[in-house]
Amino acid sequence: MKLVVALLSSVGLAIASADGGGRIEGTVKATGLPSSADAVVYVQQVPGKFPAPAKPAEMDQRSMQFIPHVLPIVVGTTVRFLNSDPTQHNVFSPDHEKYNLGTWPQGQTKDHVFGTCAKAPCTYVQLCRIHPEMEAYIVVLQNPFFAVTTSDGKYKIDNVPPGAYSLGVWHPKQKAQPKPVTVDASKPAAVDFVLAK
Amino acid sequence: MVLVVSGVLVVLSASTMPGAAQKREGAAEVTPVTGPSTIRHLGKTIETSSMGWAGQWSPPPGLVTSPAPPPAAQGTLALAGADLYRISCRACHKPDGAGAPPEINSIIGPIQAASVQWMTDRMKAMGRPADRAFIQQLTSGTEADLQKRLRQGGHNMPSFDHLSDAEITVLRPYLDQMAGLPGAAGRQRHITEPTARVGELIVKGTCHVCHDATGPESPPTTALSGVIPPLSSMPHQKTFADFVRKVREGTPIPAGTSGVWSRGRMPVFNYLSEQEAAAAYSYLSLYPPR
Repeated sequence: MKLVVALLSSVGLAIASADGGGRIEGTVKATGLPSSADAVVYVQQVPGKFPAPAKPAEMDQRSMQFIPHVLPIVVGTTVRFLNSDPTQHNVFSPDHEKYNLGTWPQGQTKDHVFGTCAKAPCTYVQLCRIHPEMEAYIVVLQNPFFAVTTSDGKYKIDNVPPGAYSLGVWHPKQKAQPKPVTVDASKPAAVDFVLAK
Repeated sequence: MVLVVSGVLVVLSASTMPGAAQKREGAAEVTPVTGPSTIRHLGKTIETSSMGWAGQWSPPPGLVTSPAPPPAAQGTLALAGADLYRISCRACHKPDGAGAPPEINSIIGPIQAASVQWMTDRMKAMGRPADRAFIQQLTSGTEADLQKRLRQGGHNMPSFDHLSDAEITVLRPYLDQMAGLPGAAGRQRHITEPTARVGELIVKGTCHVCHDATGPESPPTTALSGVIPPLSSMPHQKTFADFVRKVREGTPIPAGTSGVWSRGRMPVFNYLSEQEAAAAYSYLSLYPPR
């Protein structure tokens, strides 16, 4: 959540100051998978508009893999795709408005703006047309109150404006229903999920 | 010129002699191998690289296979796409195309990704069907990248610009077959080549990965010291029969000052036929490396 903290403190958003918000934390358990990483836990709707961060989010292509495997962003965010491999890579997605960013060599980047999302979450699978084994996901969300789970399934979302919300979870392979959550600045709200196919 | 090796008659017609090489329809001009080896060019050593290592360490003699020679007119050899792959690509990309990542990329993924049908099926299987125009935009780009990489080379891959369009047309469907693309088996073709051209393809596509074209000639006693003899030394350091045996089976030689017998560090290319090894020797004799 460093990104969120940096965003909120740098643009000075009135709606959620760094010390006025609350925390949501918990564990997501992926059923039958060796790791519970790569689940995106996110507050579905928060009143207000959330500007995209000035600094692009980054997705690397390294050792024939997209890194990170799952990248949540606020709508309007620019994603900078870097090629770190000594071979050409491409990025395309068949989802929503679909795009094909072409190919570029090692050390070079290409930017793409995820400017619209009618109904969050909008997921875009990221593929390389040259290396079909490569796959990643960009998850476009309405607000910056999200986190990606670590391999033990833990997540933590800080600085959430106090209020009652619906907390969603998205995973590349498994699903779970959203859960209600009430955020209070005085103590963390605990929400756990169990994912299944 | 007529050369006899282990009962294999190799006839080199005048049209394949140096100076007489002419561009004919369907036949590429034969040129000498030149310059440093691929691994030298990349600043690698055979100890640190997988390049050129699809050949095996000396197998038991009984396992040395002799592929059936393809039918062809005298002085020529018929090459299928599988043969072109074997003599041009296999030394690095291995028999199944998997290569040795990350140094040598697999060819399978990019070949699959250049197929409209494969990409269409894949998108469907992912639950993300895409329209044909979008798929074609992707696959045609990948095909162009493949052709460019073959001709110009890449990070570690040398240029294979010496392959003619006709040869690439024969090789390409075999790559589809290796990648398991449906219908590829029915699209296999072959090409009839002068033996000197076959020798050229073997030398440029396999031997030159590790052996420089020219360089100081080294006596066999240096075989264990890390010196890889240049291709230019082959015709006068080895007899025709010794060369063919060395390539296909490995030959122990007295190495070092102690006179210990060693077969050296060269892998055994038992997947080359006797005729092919002979063609490589003839090519090196007739088109001296520069």
